[in-house]
Amino acid sequence: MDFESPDVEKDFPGLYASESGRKSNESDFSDGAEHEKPSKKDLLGRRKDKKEKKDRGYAALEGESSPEEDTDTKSPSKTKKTKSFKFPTKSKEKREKSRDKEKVLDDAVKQKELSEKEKKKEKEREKEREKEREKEKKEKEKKGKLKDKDKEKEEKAKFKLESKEKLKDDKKEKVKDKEKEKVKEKDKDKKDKKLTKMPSTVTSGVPFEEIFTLGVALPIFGVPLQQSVERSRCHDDTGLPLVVRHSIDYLQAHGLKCPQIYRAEPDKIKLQQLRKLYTDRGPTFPYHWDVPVACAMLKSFISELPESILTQELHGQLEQTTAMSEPQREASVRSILARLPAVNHSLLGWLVKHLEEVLANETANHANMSTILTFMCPALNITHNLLSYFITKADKLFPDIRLTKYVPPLLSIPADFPETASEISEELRKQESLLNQIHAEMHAGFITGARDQQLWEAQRIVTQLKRKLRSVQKSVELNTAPIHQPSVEEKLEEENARNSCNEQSEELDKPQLTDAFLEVKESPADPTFPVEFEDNFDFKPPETNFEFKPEDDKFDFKTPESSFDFKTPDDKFNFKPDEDGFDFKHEPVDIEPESIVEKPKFTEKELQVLRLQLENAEYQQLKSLLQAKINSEQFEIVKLRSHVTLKNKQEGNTQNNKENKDINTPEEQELKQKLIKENAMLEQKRINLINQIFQERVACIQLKIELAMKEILTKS
Amino acid sequence: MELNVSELFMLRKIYMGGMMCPRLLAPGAMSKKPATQPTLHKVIMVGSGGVGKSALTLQFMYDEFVEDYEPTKADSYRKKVVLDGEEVQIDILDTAGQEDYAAIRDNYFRSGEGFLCVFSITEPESFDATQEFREQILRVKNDENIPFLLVGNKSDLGDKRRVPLDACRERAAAWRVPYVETSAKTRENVDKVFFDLMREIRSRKSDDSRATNGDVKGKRRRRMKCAIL
Repeated sequence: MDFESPDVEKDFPGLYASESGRKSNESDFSDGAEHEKPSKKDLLGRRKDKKEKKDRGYAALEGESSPEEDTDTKSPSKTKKTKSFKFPTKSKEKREKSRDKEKVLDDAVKQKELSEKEKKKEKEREKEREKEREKEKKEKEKKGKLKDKDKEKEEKAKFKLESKEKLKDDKKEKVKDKEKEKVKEKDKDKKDKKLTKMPSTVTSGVPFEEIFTLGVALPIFGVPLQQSVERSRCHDDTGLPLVVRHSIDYLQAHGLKCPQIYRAEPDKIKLQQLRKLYTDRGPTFPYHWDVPVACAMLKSFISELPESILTQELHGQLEQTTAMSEPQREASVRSILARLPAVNHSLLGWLVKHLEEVLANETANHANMSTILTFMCPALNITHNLLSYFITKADKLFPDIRLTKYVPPLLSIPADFPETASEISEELRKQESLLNQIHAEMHAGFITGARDQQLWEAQRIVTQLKRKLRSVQKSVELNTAPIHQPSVEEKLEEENARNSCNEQSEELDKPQLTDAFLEVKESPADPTFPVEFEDNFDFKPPETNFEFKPEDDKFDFKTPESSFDFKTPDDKFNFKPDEDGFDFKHEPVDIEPESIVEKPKFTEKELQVLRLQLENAEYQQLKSLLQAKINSEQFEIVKLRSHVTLKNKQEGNTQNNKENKDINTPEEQELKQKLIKENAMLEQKRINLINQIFQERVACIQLKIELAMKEILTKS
Repeated sequence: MELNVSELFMLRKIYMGGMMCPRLLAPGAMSKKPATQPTLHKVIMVGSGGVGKSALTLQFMYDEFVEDYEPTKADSYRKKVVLDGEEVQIDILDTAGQEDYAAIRDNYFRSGEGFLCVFSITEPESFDATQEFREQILRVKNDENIPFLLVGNKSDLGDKRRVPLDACRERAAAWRVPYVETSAKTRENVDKVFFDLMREIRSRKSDDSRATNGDVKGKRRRRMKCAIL
């Protein structure tokens, strides 16, 4: 790691200055008494030096330290042994150089205003340093030198000032800066690697930087359940953290018959990767999962909860019920469980229900009660007796919990979106929950282009759903009394199924119909509510034979049967608002190949829709492909990082002989410069390549679509 | 020595891997332009409650006029239009006039590229409020020249007019923005305000890309504004 320090110093003379200042204090300290006073003077002196460029008496000390020496300082004797006056010379010179620069620049500093770009950079650097400092702080704490901590705080304050000044200076060197930027990026990466405790994420890109901080600032593991649910929840009404829901969903789907369930050890790397994805709120894909990993995820989430899932207060009471005899026990357990917070109740209920199902499949998966208890009880921190009681009584204790697969909020509304009010309002609730979460994250200060976009998209879907809901409700209102609702919905569903096959062309010909529906006041979301009937409603379906239309005004709610005729619903109910079909050109649409092929003839619009559907499918595929690649790359990054940290550690052991390093420095520098240049070139090439790849992909997709279109046309 | 070189290579890998992801993920940066996706302009409707923001939006989107007043929380629409022969997409965000939703509004302002500041010519209070909206937008965007139109709605209610035309023009001139009177009911000037705004956004974007010779730089600059304010 040492090889990089000269460069870093060039860029941030303040950085190692403060570090080395502290270092020197440390060695003072190890020497014994009165370490505090001199060091303060030192600090002050250095600060002055920064501004006025005075004496450089301590500069010799400065050079002696570089980040690697952190480990050395742990053993004071070693520090003493190292020849502190021999090898600083190199870096000393460098420091002088940078000072000279500074001196020239200092005068001009105040005239110039800090450009915004610079500020931004400054912030980034500041952040990096902040992390660095934090790490150092931790190490210090380990040593138990609390006084040092105070000193460090002082230092930090000064350091901030210094670094800001320095950065102002930097502005003068803009041109140079640009050249150096890449080096800096790398340096940053290097520093990042030291932060092994933090979830390691790439920090050089915008969204990732943001995700990094989001994951760190608002973690979902090891925080109270309520918080975890708020930060990453299922957008339906279950109140489960997403990670739990996904784990259970996965196990329900793939684990019940699998003998590995709650037995096999997970792949640690896979587990770590998945965990990171959840922390960063990233998407997961099937290849991230397997049964042991899902089990381990579930277990680790639960065991990291700071409080017992049963809450401190109720846990004891529940354990005490062990002593009771049967009928009383069930009643009292139920009453205690009812007092659990909703999120706890829900998590426990889902878990227990799931475990019950695992047990029910014992013949296939060979997981008996004791396997499950051994696996889960330590995580839950409850007795075997209690958990086995929960599992055996699952149906009675959690009667209202049904294990359903999570359907996340749609990313866009497919053209064949369900038309029933209940389904629309369910989706609407999910979308609004998602919207709230996005707003909450933005209010927490995590604002990025990606999130902005997500916000607009979610908002657009909400708007569309609202409009759809209104139109559906209006049409329902028109045609039936509330009592009759279910049957109408059934019919509607039937129709929709048929419509999508046969009636599409007809639908497409009368988009105005939907517009007529849209001039409607919003009605209660639940279709079973009494809905108000509007006499003045201006409804004129264009060329439909809408039988009940004349009866609007004298519509009798109590005897709806008389006015309904469901025998030929296809022609009569056609509420599908298909204006949406054209709004979603580049968003996912579920294609129904059969229905497409079955269609006897194609209108112009149909062809267009078909083409768009194909295009959508292609883009969807491309998207998931790219996403998968991104994920695997992230995975590689994690691997490489850990590899590098390992190497660094090994290197650290051999680095006491620093002279060797210093001798090589000129060569090393040269090589580095070369590599840096090469890297810049490669970077440029890479960007061009990506552009090309993208264009070609698009072309490929277009061709594929053409092909598919031709195929379909010839078939019909 | 050996180690350092190999480390550098590794770093390069990491660095490149790192750059890869955000670029691919970044909305609009890489994935959209080559994909023949039309340019997207983001328009935000602002103004007090009941001045007709939603009415204007719906008239523009679906050619419909809604008589019933129902306060908006936030609604968003997308439409493909042909702007001077070029196919573009417009995203319209219809915000809440009511102060209750101000917090939500802020999140949207940040990503808006152009603003239609609507008031009702029959309501002096709504005209006064435009001042506040303007300030809020400038605060969030930190840009005096953000595409912006002052829109006096309900021009069909000329007989109930209570905001003199001169006052409107004066304010627009002070802000150096265009002033247009519209009627969501009669559709007068509805398309005009949206298209005029899109033209401003478009010319602004091309200026930007020219000024900042390179999108990375421009992007950073823009993002940074947000971060600070």
